[in-house]
Amino acid sequence: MLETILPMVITILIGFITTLLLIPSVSKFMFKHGIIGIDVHKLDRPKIPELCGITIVIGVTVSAIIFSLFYPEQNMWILAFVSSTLIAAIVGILDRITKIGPRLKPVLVALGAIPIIFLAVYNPYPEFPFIGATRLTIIYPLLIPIALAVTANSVNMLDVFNGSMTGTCSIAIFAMIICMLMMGRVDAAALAAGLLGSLLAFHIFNKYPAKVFAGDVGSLFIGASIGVLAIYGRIEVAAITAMMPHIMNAFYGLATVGRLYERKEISTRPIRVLEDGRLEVNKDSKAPITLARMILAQRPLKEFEVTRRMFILSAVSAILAVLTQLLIIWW
Amino acid sequence: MRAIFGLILIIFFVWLTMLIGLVVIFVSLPLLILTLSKTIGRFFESITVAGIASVMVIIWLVIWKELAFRYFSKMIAERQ
Repeated sequence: MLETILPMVITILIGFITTLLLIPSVSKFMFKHGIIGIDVHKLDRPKIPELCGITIVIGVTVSAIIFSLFYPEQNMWILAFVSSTLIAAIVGILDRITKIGPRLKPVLVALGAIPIIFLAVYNPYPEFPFIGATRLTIIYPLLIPIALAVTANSVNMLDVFNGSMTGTCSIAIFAMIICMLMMGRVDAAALAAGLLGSLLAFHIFNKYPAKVFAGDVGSLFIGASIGVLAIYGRIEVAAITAMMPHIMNAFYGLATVGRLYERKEISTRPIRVLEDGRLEVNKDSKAPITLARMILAQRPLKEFEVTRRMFILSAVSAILAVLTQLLIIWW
Repeated sequence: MRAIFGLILIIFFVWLTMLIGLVVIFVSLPLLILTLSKTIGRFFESITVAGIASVMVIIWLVIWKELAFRYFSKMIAERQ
């Protein structure tokens, strides 16, 4: 029992403490060097240090290195995990510096699949509810780049409100850890715990009212990490279910605009701020339909109320994810 | 609270249809493989099966999108 829990407790603590200790100095550095973003959902539009998601990258990478001490036999997977997720993080930094564009960004993030495919660490026999194990030897490696691009970009697209991305992802990862433990994948759960610890530490600073922004480096890294962990933990269907609010949000936006897009290039914003600080849905039919817009469809809400509703949706998806994994085990 | 309840229902519907879709795809796969491998060979069989599965996923996504967009339009119309 202790052998199961100890690596998880240590990786979650390492992820949490590393990120927590780094955030103050990193946010000061970003602010000092003008790496800031405007919090557009506040009346006074405060300037917030951006790109602080780098603390999550460091926290998770350090916890992955500590993880390798407990599971040295998983060194190939650790190499695949670290290199794949770092590719996504680099894409996030590059996007901040050079503006990669909405079409090229998913393609570059998808390159994160290369280490997983070339190191051949994946298992092409995913299990599905009511079906059991399947043989997808040809299709599975082709799906890995798509999976990474989808998870990374859908997480990125839900990073719209204070704490929305960190909170919803924490819930999703928590559900994934439960699913991994149900499958007896203690090693994968320990690796995922590092990400959860790091996210929880970041959430303290990113929750309403946000003191730091993760930026693309954080959101793309977290999304890619979730994708890689789903493959490593062999909980693909449960992970998709846990990520439903993210995927829904990304798909609705994509379906309305008709192409991949950056938030900044949308002239008709989906949300507007009222004089009392509450958020109101933009009724213009040209505005993309997003999850936030659907939540606000009934009445205007404060920013933290919208985020709280996103958490409820994530919690529902998390329960369904665990239920999906139970169906897989029972079948 | 009504808006969030509607979204929870959509999530539940999407989850349920995803499971049904997966069963339909994987139940039909052996049948397709058995029929196709005799006529077009293993490589083209894989491509055809992936194509058919993709079409099924697209149909599922369209249903999903329509449901959500109609729900959104209804909520907006009720307010106006």
